[in-house]
Amino acid sequence: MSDLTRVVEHDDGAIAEILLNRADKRNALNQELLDEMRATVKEVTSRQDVRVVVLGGEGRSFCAGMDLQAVRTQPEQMGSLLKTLSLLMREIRRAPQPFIARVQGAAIGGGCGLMCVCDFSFTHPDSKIGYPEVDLGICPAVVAPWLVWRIGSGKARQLLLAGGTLRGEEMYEYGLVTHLVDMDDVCPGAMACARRLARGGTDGNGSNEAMAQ
Amino acid sequence: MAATKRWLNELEGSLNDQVLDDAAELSARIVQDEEAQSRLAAMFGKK
Repeated sequence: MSDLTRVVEHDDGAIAEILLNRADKRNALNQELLDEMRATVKEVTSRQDVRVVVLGGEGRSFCAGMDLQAVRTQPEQMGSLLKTLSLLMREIRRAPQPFIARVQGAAIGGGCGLMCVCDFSFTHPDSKIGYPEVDLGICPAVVAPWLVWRIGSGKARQLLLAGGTLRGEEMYEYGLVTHLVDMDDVCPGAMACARRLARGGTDGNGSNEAMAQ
Repeated sequence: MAATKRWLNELEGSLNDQVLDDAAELSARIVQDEEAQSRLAAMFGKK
């Protein structure tokens, strides 16, 4: 395994931060990063001692979306990329632990999808968030179900059909972002939320195993 | 927490793999279309 993801543990492992670690590409999602993310999420969420997971990105942006440039000359590889993203989003949503996204800078396309499947999301007012797929003639179907489940069909239509991106404070009004804080408070805010959640019950006695099925 | 999360997933329908598989396949099919490829080429050509 390469170092495209990083795990940082807090509070004796009760809180695990999973970080996208491709900062030079604004954490754009290529096949290697997605494969590694799936392995990391599986490893972290299978641990009984991990109560809460924080999802973040190294560098200035949470995630710039799919690395389209990497597969532009080989569009057939997009199928594999999108399938892997789809599986990763399911694994995050179905994990027994709550997930918190901490979003600085930008969460675009697939990156916005990763934010959307988390149970909580923290960002700052001037972050750049959205689904610009239609601007490129691309269909955002892979992320659409999660957005519909999150904010409802009417608002999801507005965002997906209009394309482009909006500011974090606008996405908070849409209900896509759960917590809007100052830029400097994104990480501390997410961690405070994680600590509060970690104090909650785990629904043990085999629930974790059932969740993995 | 885990049971609550699972129940919420059931309520919203996000345990339905068929819906999610179909969604990924649709996105993959459209991105290979001529229009999408042309727009992507134009976008990356500008950089």
